[in-house]
Amino acid sequence: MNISVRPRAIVLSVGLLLLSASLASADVSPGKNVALASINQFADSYTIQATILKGKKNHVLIINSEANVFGAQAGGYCLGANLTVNGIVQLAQPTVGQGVACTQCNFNSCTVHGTYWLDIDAAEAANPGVFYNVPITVSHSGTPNNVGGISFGNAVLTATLQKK
Amino acid sequence: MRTHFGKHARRLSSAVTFVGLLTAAVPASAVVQSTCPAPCTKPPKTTISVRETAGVLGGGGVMPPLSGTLAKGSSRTQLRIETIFEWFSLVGGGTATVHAAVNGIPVQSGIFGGTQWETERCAASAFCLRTASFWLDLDAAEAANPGTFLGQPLTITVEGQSLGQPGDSYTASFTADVVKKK
Repeated sequence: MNISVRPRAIVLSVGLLLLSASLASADVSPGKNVALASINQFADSYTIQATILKGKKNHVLIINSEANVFGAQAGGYCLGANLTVNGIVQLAQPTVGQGVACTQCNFNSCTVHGTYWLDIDAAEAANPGVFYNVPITVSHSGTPNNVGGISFGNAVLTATLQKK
Repeated sequence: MRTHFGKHARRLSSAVTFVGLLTAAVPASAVVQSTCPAPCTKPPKTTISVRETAGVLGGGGVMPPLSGTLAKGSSRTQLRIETIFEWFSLVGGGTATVHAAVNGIPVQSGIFGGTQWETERCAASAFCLRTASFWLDLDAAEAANPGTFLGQPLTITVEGQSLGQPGDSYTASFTADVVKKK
């Protein structure tokens, strides 16, 4: 019985492996003071999330984000970072009319990078109960505008909780 | 010579600290946010972050300086400064620059021994976002400028310039933190 099942299981496993290999792969690493997330070879848009286990008083959240695309079919597109914390606070200040902080790129490849910050005390004062002693989830998403299609893109996110 | 320079550096440090405190005492405009808002009577020990969310570039496309103060410099530590400068460029071809100073002393960028990051050119009518990283070994900085860093408040100033584009809207941000060397 076992002998007859194993080949099917192997075929199924290999199939799933090949399927997952053809899709974008995301990695996450939650932590007490540092959380990381990345995605490789997204095809159109992406969203990655990194979670700090809980917010603390007298701390600042420092966020490093980077995204790049390859093989853009059109120039003049906006490659941007849309960063939110616990779904409430938007970190990257929107560029006028764009909704995200962005830089305008030419054909083919482009990278956007930035270091952003959030004062946890100020955020808690503005949104009581949302930041102290609860998980802090940073979301980094993007959809290259007017890009005319890309070969693939990558994105990474690092969130660090630091004492003031 | 070194002693004379040291005295000069101390006077410069005092002046910068005074200006920093004076700046901190002035009510901040509504668009400048800081993790130690004015009057910032107790500067943070480790991390200071400041941003401008609705700035307008001045003459020559110069960004008014963003400034923040850490409590004091300690031996065997390094200062890291991460900056963002974003603007809408009406005129293409201009090179933007970003530079940082600590207690009035420019921080080297590593580009040809200079003190500013020369960023790539930006196209006309385009959204431009540039980032720059700086670091300062406080022991080395103190050795070069005695009395300026160790045991003194550290006032970090970041400035940007998008050449020849006064009146353009911009946002800017920096975060500076001290980390132990080991």
